[in-house]
Amino acid sequence: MSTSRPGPGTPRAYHFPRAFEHRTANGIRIIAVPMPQRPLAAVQLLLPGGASSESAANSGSTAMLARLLTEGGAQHNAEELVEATELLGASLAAEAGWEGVVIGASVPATRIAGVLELIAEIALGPSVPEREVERGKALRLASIEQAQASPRARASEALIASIYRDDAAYGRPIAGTRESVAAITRERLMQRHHELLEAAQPILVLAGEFDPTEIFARVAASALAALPGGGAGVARASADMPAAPGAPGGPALLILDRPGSVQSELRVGRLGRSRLDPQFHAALVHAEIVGGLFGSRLNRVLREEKGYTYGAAAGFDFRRGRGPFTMRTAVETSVTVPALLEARRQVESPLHEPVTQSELDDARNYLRGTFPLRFGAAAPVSATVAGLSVIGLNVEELDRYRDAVTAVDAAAVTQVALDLSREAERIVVVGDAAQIAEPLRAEGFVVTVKPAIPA
Amino acid sequence: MATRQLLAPLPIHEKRLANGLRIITVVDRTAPVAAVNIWYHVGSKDERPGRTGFAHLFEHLMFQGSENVSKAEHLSLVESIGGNANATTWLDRTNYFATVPAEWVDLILWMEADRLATLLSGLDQVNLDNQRDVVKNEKRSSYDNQPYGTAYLEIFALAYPVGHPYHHPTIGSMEDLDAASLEDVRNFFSTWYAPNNAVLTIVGDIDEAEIYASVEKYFGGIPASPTLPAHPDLTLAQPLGGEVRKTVMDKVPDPRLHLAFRAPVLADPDLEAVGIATQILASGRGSRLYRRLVRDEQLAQDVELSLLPFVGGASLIVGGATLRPGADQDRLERTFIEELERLASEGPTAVEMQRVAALVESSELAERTDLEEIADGIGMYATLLNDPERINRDLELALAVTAEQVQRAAALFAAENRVVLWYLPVEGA
Repeated sequence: MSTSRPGPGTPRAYHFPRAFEHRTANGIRIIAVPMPQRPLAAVQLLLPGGASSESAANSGSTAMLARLLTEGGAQHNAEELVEATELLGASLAAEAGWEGVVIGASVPATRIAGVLELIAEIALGPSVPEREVERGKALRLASIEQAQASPRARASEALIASIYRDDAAYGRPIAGTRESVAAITRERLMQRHHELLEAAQPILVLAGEFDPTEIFARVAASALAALPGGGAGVARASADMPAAPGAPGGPALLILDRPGSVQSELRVGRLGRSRLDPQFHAALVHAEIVGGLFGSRLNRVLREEKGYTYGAAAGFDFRRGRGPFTMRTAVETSVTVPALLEARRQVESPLHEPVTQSELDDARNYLRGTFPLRFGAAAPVSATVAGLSVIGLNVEELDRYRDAVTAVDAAAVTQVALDLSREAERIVVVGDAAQIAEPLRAEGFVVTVKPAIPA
Repeated sequence: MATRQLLAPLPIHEKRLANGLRIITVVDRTAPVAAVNIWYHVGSKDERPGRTGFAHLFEHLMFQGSENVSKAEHLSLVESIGGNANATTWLDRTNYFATVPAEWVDLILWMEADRLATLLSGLDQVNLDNQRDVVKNEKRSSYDNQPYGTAYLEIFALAYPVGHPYHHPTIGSMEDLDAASLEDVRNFFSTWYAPNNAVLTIVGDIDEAEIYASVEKYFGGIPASPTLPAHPDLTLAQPLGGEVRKTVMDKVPDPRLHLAFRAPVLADPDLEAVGIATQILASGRGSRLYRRLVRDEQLAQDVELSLLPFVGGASLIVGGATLRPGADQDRLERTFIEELERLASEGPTAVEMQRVAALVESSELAERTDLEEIADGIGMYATLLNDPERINRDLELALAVTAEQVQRAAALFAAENRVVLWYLPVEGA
């Protein structure tokens, strides 16, 4: 056994796969990313206009529409659509994001043409059967109940709701609330679909083993070519997602009471940053150091030093508007108070103990080194390209990622921590109130207790 | 099903060191990365009574430092070179894996060798106590404090008799975790962690000659264990012999049905058809169970059925469905089982066989683009079947399954081979 650590061999070059762009005659934007030796291709059709523009009353209608797209179109009913998809060896799914509805498929590259027809069918004329609307609503309501019973999901949802003002879509679950889902009608969903097509700004992203010129021709020859393009886009809501006003007095803390819990789910959050923020890469590095890496300050102290938890993490959720910054951990009930104090201390620590050179190096190396690991398959490549495109960023953004990470210095990380500390802090604990409420009050928190599962 | 030459075989090469360590390599230059994966043939089946959860607790201690790696440095070191690492423990094995930029593969080999050669020098009571607390919190987070979180523990206890090595859960019990001593850790390590009980697989942008030289350099001096024990007898003396039923009252929002069935072991050629049967029944929205329970009759919110392969005694098929609020519990169970039994009485349709063939092909294509999956699959087949090349026959074997074989396989869903477990909401939860 050798006692001296081996260093690196010769580094290999890495480039994000090159993207080719094309606009069809009627203005559909196509981005094709050829990836040799990736026979399982990914296709994503993005229709801009997502949940971020929903009012509180309409919350969840975009997600419900997405769910119902795969319930059939003009030629296939739901079961026929599944059968046609699976016979291609494909999987087909639709999902609503904050900025758009994505219809995505994975399919052997040799059978892309078949899947384009199916995507076109449900994008252009989904049948949205009345019976399926009712079934979709019932399942969504049941899943809201399931989430309330899960300490993890309950804590996260309550934290997010506490960060934003009531009129900000980001404060609501993307699939809607009990009240808003119950109010969904087929008519409302058809209206949402109409709005998506009327915006006429579809983006089609494909990745996998193919020749891009051939792909452009295939799209032009497919039913997808009939999709309206070249439009003015959606009248998008402002990307500004206002935070709820801060509370006076000591730090406000909401306990969601779950009698008999053997653990407390702890959440601390603040308004975070936008993906379009010029300090995006600095925020990534900051989050790795504070709560991303296994060796992050949070995990090192809460798990490896104190043994309070199986794991503790923190980070930003980057969206077009300012998404949340959250700290998440679950600890044994008896250590709730010291664990919460320690978690808050570690999240704020870059203000008092500036990040060290080795922390900075580790975080930057991690982000740089794992970047190629994330993009081995076609699906994450097309999803990432589609996600950037819909908020107006180009594929070049991915090419410059590794250099941008390298350029982040300690001062930039401190600035991220400072900006974060200026936002109001929110704290949610899901646990046994009888055991934790008084000790938390004694520590100076302004504690409110509500049942985890509303009556 | 028709077979086609869809996938070029992986170029698998193998060597063995004098101390028994198997090294398996696959060169894949699609990305400048490498996956390193090491399987130790030891799992929770090898635990002694009163020491359940030990193989997994031990896995945690493998990250707590060795002679030349300090406490908790292992994962941070991997992250600092731009890689990821983790480990898992299961009934038959424990695996450790890292994926890193290809130029760093030597460091990972060296770290694996350092902990295999010198783990005990880094071990102390403080580390043991700390990781015991971490694991107890893992049990609370992943099982005890989650709705339905303990169902898996119940299923194994019902499907395998008391005293069988698969009866107790890999996560262990709180009492047994508390009882684990430093002496136990030392014994476990000396008993099972030896080069002749390991398979080391490296897949990626590598030079095979360099890899073999490095492995020889770092692992070559680690002695083989002359006393590697036999694994416990996994033979099941009796079939399940009737429907085994249990009801658990818990803090859950809706009633949930869990089912389990004993199935052929990993080496049994009949297992292939069992896998196809579970796909026809529950893979995706076109599957029989989804269509009937979730879509048509709206009895369930979700449905699942999957195969957990094990090496001895019996593998397990586990399934479940959460009751739709307002639906009838008995009818859900009856209908679920009716669909399973219908496959045994009528067999799959030609279209279903075609659909599954296409899905199997796609999932193989997906796995072939994932270096970690390739390395882990090879490690599994080498460790458990002594056949690393088996990965190259996976697709062919799956596509060769006939409708008749699927129908025959579905016979295992019969009542005398069935575990039925209900989770019901306690009042006021």
